Amino acid sequence: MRDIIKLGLILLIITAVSAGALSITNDITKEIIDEKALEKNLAYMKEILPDADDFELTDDPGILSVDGVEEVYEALQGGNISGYVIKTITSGYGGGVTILTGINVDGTIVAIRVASQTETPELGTKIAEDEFGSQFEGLSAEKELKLNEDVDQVSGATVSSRAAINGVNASIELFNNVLK
Amino acid sequence: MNVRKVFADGLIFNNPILVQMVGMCPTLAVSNTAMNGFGMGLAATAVLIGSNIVISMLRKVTPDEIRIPIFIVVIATFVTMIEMVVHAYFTALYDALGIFLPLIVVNCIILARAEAFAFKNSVFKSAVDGLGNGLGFTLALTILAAIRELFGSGSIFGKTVMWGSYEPMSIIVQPSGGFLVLGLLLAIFATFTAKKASV
Repeated sequence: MRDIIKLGLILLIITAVSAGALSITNDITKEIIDEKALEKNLAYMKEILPDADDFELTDDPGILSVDGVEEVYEALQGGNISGYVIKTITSGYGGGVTILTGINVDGTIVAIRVASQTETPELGTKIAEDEFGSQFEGLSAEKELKLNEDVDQVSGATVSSRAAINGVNASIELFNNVLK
Repeated sequence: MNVRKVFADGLIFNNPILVQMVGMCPTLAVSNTAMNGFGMGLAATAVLIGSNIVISMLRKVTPDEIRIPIFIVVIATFVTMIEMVVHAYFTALYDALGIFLPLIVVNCIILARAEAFAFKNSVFKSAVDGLGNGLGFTLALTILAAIRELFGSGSIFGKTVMWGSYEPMSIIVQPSGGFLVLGLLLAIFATFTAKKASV
């Protein structure tokens, strides 16, 4: 019995020290990582809606009414809203897939960008490539998009493709129910 | 065994990739470009040195029964710390390595050196062993990656060096091509070290 307690205590001490070290490293690096992610997202947003001169994060609580929606940015042109960039996180094969969907106020999808994903290299990661993403450009945001009807999936990567289209559909749903 | 032998073994004569043949998974996966191979090698070296030092420091108080969980905790902690640092300060490398950075935790090289060396040797020698094996891993990985990048994409470290009309053999940057190049490299290396040993 004493042996087990001793073993347990040693493990406890080692894991506690390790947790402490990780927590310190996290504190040091978290801000920088978040900053860089924000910069990258802004860069994507400028790609999606190049005519906008500013992007403002909306604090409308209604955006949380749709599953998967994380943030909504209003794209402003000369002070008026010209469109929205909606950030969604949906479950893929290897974790969450973060999609940025740009929708014009007139209800067309301008473009999408995959902001982050941890899908299978050479398979699921193809959702981040132009070949897949460009299919969304110009589609109507009137109603939900169907995989392999409106948009072709990446062959061999159904789960990843589904994660992508779910993200876009969540943006479409939000646009129609809340933002319009 | 003296310190110089420990280092030389790790670097050449007991090279993790070319002799011990451990850590094959990340070797094939990230050796598509020289920069990725080099970056991965350095990240793994950092983890290896750190974990070897800590495991060696703890070796007198580590009960045999729970040594494996303790190794894993130490290794995983270092990998996670390195991952956070690379994410924050070398974001391009982080994106390129993707899932293979956290996978360093299960890179056999690190656990192998912990079990075979760090657990039984002094802190200083363990650090040197970590450095030798890490650099050996980096060297082999970078050479392999450079060859694959040169013939498979026509460039080295991102700079195009092949003549304009060169058609890259894209199979070389696929896993199957990786196996082929690795096999050739192993054969050449074995001949080289056999000669040295017999001299």
